[in-house]
Formats: sequence, structure tokens, C-alpha cells
Amino acid sequence: MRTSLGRAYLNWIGKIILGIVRTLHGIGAFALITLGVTFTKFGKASDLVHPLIYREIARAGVKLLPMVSFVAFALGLVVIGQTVSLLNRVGAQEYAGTVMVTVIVRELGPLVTALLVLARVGTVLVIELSTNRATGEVEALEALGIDPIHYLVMPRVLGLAASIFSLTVYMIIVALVSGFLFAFIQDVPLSPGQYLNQLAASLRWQDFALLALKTISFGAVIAVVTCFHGLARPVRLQEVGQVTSNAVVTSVVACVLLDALFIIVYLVI
Amino acid sequence: MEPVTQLIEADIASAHAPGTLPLIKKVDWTITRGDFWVVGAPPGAGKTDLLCTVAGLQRPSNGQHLLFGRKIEELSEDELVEMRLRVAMIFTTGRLFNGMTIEQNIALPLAYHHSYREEELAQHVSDALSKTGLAAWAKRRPDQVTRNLHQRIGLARALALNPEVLLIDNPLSSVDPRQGRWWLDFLCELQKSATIVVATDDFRPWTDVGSHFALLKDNRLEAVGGREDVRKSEDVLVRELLTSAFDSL
Repeated sequence: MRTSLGRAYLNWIGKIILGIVRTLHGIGAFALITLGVTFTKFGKASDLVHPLIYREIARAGVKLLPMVSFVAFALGLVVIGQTVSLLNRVGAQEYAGTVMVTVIVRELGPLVTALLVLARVGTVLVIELSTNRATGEVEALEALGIDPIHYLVMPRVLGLAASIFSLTVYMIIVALVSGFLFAFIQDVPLSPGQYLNQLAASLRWQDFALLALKTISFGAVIAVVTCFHGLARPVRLQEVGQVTSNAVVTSVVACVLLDALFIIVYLVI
Repeated sequence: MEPVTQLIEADIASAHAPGTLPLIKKVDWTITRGDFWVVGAPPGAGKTDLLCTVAGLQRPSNGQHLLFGRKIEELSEDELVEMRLRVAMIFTTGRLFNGMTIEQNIALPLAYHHSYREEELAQHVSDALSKTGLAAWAKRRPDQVTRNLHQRIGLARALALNPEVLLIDNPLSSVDPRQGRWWLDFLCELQKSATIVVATDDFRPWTDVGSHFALLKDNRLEAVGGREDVRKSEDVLVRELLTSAFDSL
């Protein structure tokens, strides 16, 4: 009895591991194909495809500005509210800028923005593409000689990458300003000049380069993972909900792993 | 006559996903320019898979498939796209892009493959719409027109690209008799300038239209012959396909 239970448990773990390996393999291949298509076909049918990139930027970037503003404002308040009063108590308010740079610029800003875009746009994207697949629109594109990766995936990858980068920069600025406003209201002895100096002293050129790289990677990863789940396998309409759920879980895991990788890079450089 | 499409001793596994059983096993078929083929089979026998494979949308797992004298497995991606533009596949449901209007559906492949100016594009779309009698519905989305017209819109979208071969999947399956008459008349006229393959589960409306008839039977494609051969055939499946509905056409 115990042996059969143990075997069943091992089988279950084995199936999960195999599933993960298959998904990773599929996403890797899909990402490489997308990269290849982006380089070789970027200029093809530009009058038709480039407006799709702008549309994606509008959908994943411009339309999310109000929500990102709200979250950034709250993030600034929370981080400053929690840390500055603590720093003040131990007389270390000169580290407020360093804390803001470490927490907002390097960590929370990019990750929170990526997760917001995933929640608002990534889910829509999987539903759109898996519905396209289920209704045969993808096969229709192929029959008309239109490359679905070029027409459906490339604009979304480039659009999401550009959107998450721009939204993160915007979120960081709003969070830093709102953080200082909260400190000002709390009568923390910190002038705007001191705060800016602390920020400038804490920022290195690597922060800008890695911020760009990280946010663009987040955008590309979310787009590739969601497009993969929506397009790579034949889907029936009843399965769209499950596919969306899988795509969100995979995207969150991918973003967190990517974030961990960047933490290591920050520690090394 | 230049052979347009050759499926020679092909063992075609038309499955999309690994592990799916092949619906097409043995196909030995040569389609010549100007032919009007009618392929009959009961529903679910694999007609769509056969047409998709002939169109180059699915690769045979075994055997040889020549498109315009070129082996499909030897074609580069660009060459394959070029071939796909010469062989149009028209699905039963039309497989239209639901978020676009009918004219946008027709404009999409034109805009993708050609760098037309706006007026030129509009002219091509307008030509395709008027040729297929769809001009009145141009600004509507597919869900705003009757399903009867969906495959006709798919036909207009394919014709805009000027294909040499049209593979039409069951065009009379979901249309009323008036629409059915339109299809038969239109394809008769179109045959003068294009090669046509129609898959059907009912031979009867096609016996005065098609020039070559074949059966998809037991996963194999079997030639029946010309119009007279079909009418005189003693084959059980042919008789079944000749006693279906469409008396009114």
C-alpha cells in the first residue's frame, strides 16, 4: 500500500517536472522564433504591422497611466511612510534616498509595473489570441500567407516591452515625488535639495542600464509567455479560461525568476 | 499542361497534434490547370485535412507533395508563402477576422503582401466585393451578416489575391438554395480562369459542374472519373453521395 502510494506520488512529481520542462522548451523555442522573425521581418508590411505596435503601446502603456499613477503614489507613501520614520528615529534620514533607489528604482518599480501590465493587458492578450486560435483565425492567416508570429506576436512583444519600460520610468518618478511629499507632511527634516542629492548619490549609471534591460525583458517575457499560451497549441473555446490562468501563473513565475537574476547582477556589479 | 499540384503516393498524416490518428493515408492525385475537381466523402472523413495538406498548410508525414512542380519540403519559408498565394484555401466557415469589417478582412492580405497606395487598395477591395456581390455588406463585421455569407466573404478575400488554384471546403453545406445556386454559377464562371477543387458530402449539385470526381474512402483518395462515370457508378458511397438533398438546385 505504502509502495503504491509512494510510486503514485513519484509519478505525480515526474509528470509535473516533465510538464515544466515541456513548457520551458516550448517557450524557449517560441521566443527564438519570435526573435528571428523580429529581426528578419521588422520592415516587412510596415504600413500594416507598425501601427499594431503603436496600438499595443497605447493599450499597455497610455491607458494604464491612471492606474500606474495611483499605485506609484501609494508605493511612495508606503515605502517612505515605513522607512523614513524609522530612519528618523535612529537619526539616519540621510539614507532615505538610498532606500528609495534600492526599493523603488531597482526592485518594486519594475516588478510592480510588470505585474500591473500582466494583470490588465497580459490576460486580455491570452484571451484574444487563444480565441483567435480556437475560431480558426490563425489558420486563416497562415492560409493567406501571413506569418502569425509577425502579425500577431511581434507587435505585442515590442509594444509591451516599450510600454513596461516607459510605465516603469513614470512610476518611479511618481513614487519618488509622492514619497518626498509624505516625508514633507510628516515634518521629516529633509529638504528637496537634500533628497535629490541623496537620490543622485545613490544612483549609478548601471542602474539606468539595468533598469532599461530589466523592464524591456519583463515586457518581452510577459508577451512571449502569454502569446505562447494563446497560440502555440490548438485550443477549444472552453479551454480559454484555463489557458489564461496558466499563462498568468507562468508569467508571474518568469518575472520573479528574472527579477532574482537581476538581483544577482546588482550584487555582482 | 503544366501540373499544378501533385500528390504522388503520399502517406499523409494530417494530424495537427502528435498522437492524433491520420485521416488521410493514401493519396495519388494530380491536379492539372483548368480542372474542376469534386471530392466527395461523408462528413468527418477528412476532406478538410486533405485540402489543407494539398494547400501546403499541413505537411504530409510521409510521401511526396509537389506544388507547381516543387517539392514542398524543399521550399524555403518565402517560397512557401509565394505558393500559398497561388493556392487559396477557402474554409467552410470562412474563418473570418471577427474584429474587422468585411472590407478590412479582404484588405488585410492585400496590405500585407503588396505595398499598394490607399486608393489602389480600396480599388482592389471594391473589385473583390463587387465580383462576389458583397458590396452592400462591406462596412459590416462578420457577426453582423448571415452565416450563409461567411464562406462567400472568405472566397472574396481569397480572390483578391488572384490565386491560380482554389480549394473550397464544402461550399454548399450551410447555405440556402438561392446561395447554393449563386455558388454553382459563380464557380462555373470562375473555372474559365482558375483551377478549382471542391470538397463535398453531396455529389448531386456538382454533377453538371465538375470535370473530375474523386472519393475519399477508407482514408484513401480514389478517382471516380468524369461526369458520366459518376452518374453511372455502382459504388455504394457514390450512390449515397448522389442521393442526398439539394433536389431544389
